Amino acid sequence: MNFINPIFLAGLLAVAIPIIIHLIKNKKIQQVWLGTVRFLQEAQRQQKRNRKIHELLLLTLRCLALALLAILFCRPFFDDQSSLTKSNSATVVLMDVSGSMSGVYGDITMFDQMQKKAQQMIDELSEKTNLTLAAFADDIQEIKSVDELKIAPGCCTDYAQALGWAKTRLLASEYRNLNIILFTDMQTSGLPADALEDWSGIINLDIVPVLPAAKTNSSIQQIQVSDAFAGKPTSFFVDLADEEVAPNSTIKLMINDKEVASKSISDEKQVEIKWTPQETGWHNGRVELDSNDAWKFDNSLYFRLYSQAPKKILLVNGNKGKSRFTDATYFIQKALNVKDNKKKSGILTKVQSTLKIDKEDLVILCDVKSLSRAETKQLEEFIKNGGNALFFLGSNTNTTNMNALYNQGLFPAKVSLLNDRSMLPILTWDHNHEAFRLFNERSSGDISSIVFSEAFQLKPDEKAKVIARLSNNNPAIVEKTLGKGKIIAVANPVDRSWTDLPVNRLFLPFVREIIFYLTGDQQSRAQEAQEVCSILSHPSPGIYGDTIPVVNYANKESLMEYTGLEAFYATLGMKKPEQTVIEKKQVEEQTSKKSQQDSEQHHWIAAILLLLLIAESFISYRFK
Amino acid sequence: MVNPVKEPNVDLHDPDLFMALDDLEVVAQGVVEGALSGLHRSKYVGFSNEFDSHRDYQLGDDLKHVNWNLWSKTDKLFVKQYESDTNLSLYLFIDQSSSMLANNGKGSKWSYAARALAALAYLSLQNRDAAGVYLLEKKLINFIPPAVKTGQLADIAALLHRSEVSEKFNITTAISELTLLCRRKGIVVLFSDFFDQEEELLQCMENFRHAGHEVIVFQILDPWEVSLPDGGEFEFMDLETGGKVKANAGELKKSYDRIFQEWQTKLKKKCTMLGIDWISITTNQPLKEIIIEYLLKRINQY
Repeated sequence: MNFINPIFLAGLLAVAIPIIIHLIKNKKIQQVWLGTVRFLQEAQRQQKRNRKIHELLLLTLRCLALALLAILFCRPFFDDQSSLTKSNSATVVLMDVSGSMSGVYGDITMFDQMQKKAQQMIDELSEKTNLTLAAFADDIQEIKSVDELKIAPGCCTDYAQALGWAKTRLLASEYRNLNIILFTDMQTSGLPADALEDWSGIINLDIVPVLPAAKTNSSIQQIQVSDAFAGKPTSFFVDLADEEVAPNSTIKLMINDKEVASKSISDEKQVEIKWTPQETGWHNGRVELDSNDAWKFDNSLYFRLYSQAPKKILLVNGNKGKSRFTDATYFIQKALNVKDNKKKSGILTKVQSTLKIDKEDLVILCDVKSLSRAETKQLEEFIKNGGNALFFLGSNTNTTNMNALYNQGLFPAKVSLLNDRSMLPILTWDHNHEAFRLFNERSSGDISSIVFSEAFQLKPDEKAKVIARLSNNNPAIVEKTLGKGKIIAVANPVDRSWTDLPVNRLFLPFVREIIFYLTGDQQSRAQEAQEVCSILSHPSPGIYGDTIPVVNYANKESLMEYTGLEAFYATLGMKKPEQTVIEKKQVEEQTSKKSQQDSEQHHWIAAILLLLLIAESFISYRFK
Repeated sequence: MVNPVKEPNVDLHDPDLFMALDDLEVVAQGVVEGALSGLHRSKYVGFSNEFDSHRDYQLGDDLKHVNWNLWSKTDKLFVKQYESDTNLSLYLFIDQSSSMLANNGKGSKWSYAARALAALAYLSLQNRDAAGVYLLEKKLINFIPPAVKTGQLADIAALLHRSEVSEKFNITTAISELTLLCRRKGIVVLFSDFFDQEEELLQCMENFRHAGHEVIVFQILDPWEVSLPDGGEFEFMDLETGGKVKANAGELKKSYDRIFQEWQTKLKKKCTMLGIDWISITTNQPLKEIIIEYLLKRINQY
């Protein structure tokens, strides 16, 4: 071993210093005789007490010195609280989980791609950033980590709501540097019509686009189902999106998860599929578009359908005309058999000249002159057992026979013939009556345009009630309940003999509503009301329980139109930031490191340590 | 009692020229004459210097000295006093306890006290006042009653020469004997370090004070007893009990000095309250100067 400056080895002589001190300290103890040592003993006692205090003080000082020494080696620095708040930022990360994000992106979905990107970015943001994560579609759901993200396949995108929520969160925070990072496919349908109002200029919006690879999307936009009756074919009219449909696509009708019908399609925009329900009751189903497009969420629509049994109506023709057009039942039979493509009546009619009831639901007696005793008895039993009867009076009506039926309780009013016939419109009617509820809306027509020939005066019995009156306040339609059935008497024929009623444009709904009332029509229950998916309640389409049975995807989500980045900012009424949040963060970190070096406090700690050591030395010397 | 200090009865070392002599008579004479020459006084003054014209009549006083004129005015008997009057008794007490053997200065406390006592006895006898010595020992057997006879000083010196310090005595039993022995009013002078039975000693002195004596206390101390040295490791041993205390003098000095001062102040205060003259001396102080200082004080006082 060699030394560069061997002269300094002379410093080893300093070793002699502690040895000298040791030798001095070991000097022999001298014996001294005093008159008394009691004062010495007292002094020793007092000194012992004082020494304890001093030793405690010294211990404290030494501990403090050692602690400060350790802190000194850690090179502490004090953060300036104001600069800390300035340098720290609050960031809300909004991640689009709407249906459009389920599109396939190469081998993985756009959603998976977004999840990866988001995780990467969150890892890059420093710990000082106050992060808030949220999934959004039609609404917002705050989450704790990216792993909690779930696609909401049926939900639409609402940028305005998501950005508004993020803004509120950020402005409520104590941070000054506020950022929003938006992961989205920039779907145009999610943008607000107008620029966002009151958008704070201090919030930076950083958009991370997750764009789809595919451009076209096939989807089922809507299904219309005709009224379903057991044993009768039901039509399903399926509207397809106004886009190219992939070749070799098929529309499938699934009832209770079983395929019951299918149809190949090429470029049709509407497809009809038929299916005949065999039983009455509810059927859960969906229409599926079997296509190879990138988005599957909008290829199915769910429905819930009620199929009912067809109603049997017996029409008794009491006044056979010269031709079938003048038959008393001709027009009403036509009215009942009118076929509507979307809404079938589900009514089976049978016309007879005599009353012979065979499991019918309703008997309509048109201008019947009289009923035999057997017919009367049959009618009474029919009504009492739940059947219904509808009387239309006419020129063939015999008041004596009708009053005989009235007396037996089978007719709701006493009938008398008027000599002065006049033409009177229906002026008042029971607006709450089920037969007239349709006409409460003016667009459905005005019943007062229906004119009756006042040939009969009806005097209803106490159990009957007048549900429509003519302008002279005489009853036009009277209703009565007998047993389980109902009887309605209309003081006018349903042919063209008296008032030309069938020509009136309200004839069809007028008579059909009365007949549907009596047959207990269930058209209103034919199809269950539907709801649209929501991220907070039902993010996926399907049929759920009884409260919200049918939930389908939001239609506008299937429109795969995208807005460019610049245009996206412009639509929201913002400017594209010059730096992304990550870039800004890097600059902040560099600034923070520099200020950290500037604010190092080691010299102060060293000064305090020095003072402590001086104090320790002084106290230990002073009270030795 | 083991006496660690070899203390010859006549070995009264003192740096002072006179104190170097063994002969107490010579020492006493030297001290007194030297002191008086230092005062530059032409006439002798002594302890009999009370009120120099009258004093209370006492039994045994010659009636020719009674001031009848004053009696006629005050109805009390007063005796005419003269400066050279010698019929005052000086009772000299010296503490013989072993603590008086402390010798860390220029001699032991006892030898210093003995010289001072001899000096005062000589001064008194020179003034024709009676002087007697009482050794405060275990038993009060060694004493010379006050007298103004030729050879009185030689007797006192001889008594001191042959005396030895002894174990402590019980002062309470000695008080009654002392009171009987010192019936005639005079001046009581006590030489002691007051380390033992100080309360009883003071009580004894208080009794003399109440009996009409004038009491003067000389507290004789060793310099190390007043103040410890500034440093060094020592084993301090108690001359009376043999107890030992190992300590660093520097560490204890401050608190020791303070405690000792407090004790001394307390004693002095008590003596002052009782009308006792209190003089504290260390053995390294020149005796002559002490005597001069005290005499000057008394002259100014009367």
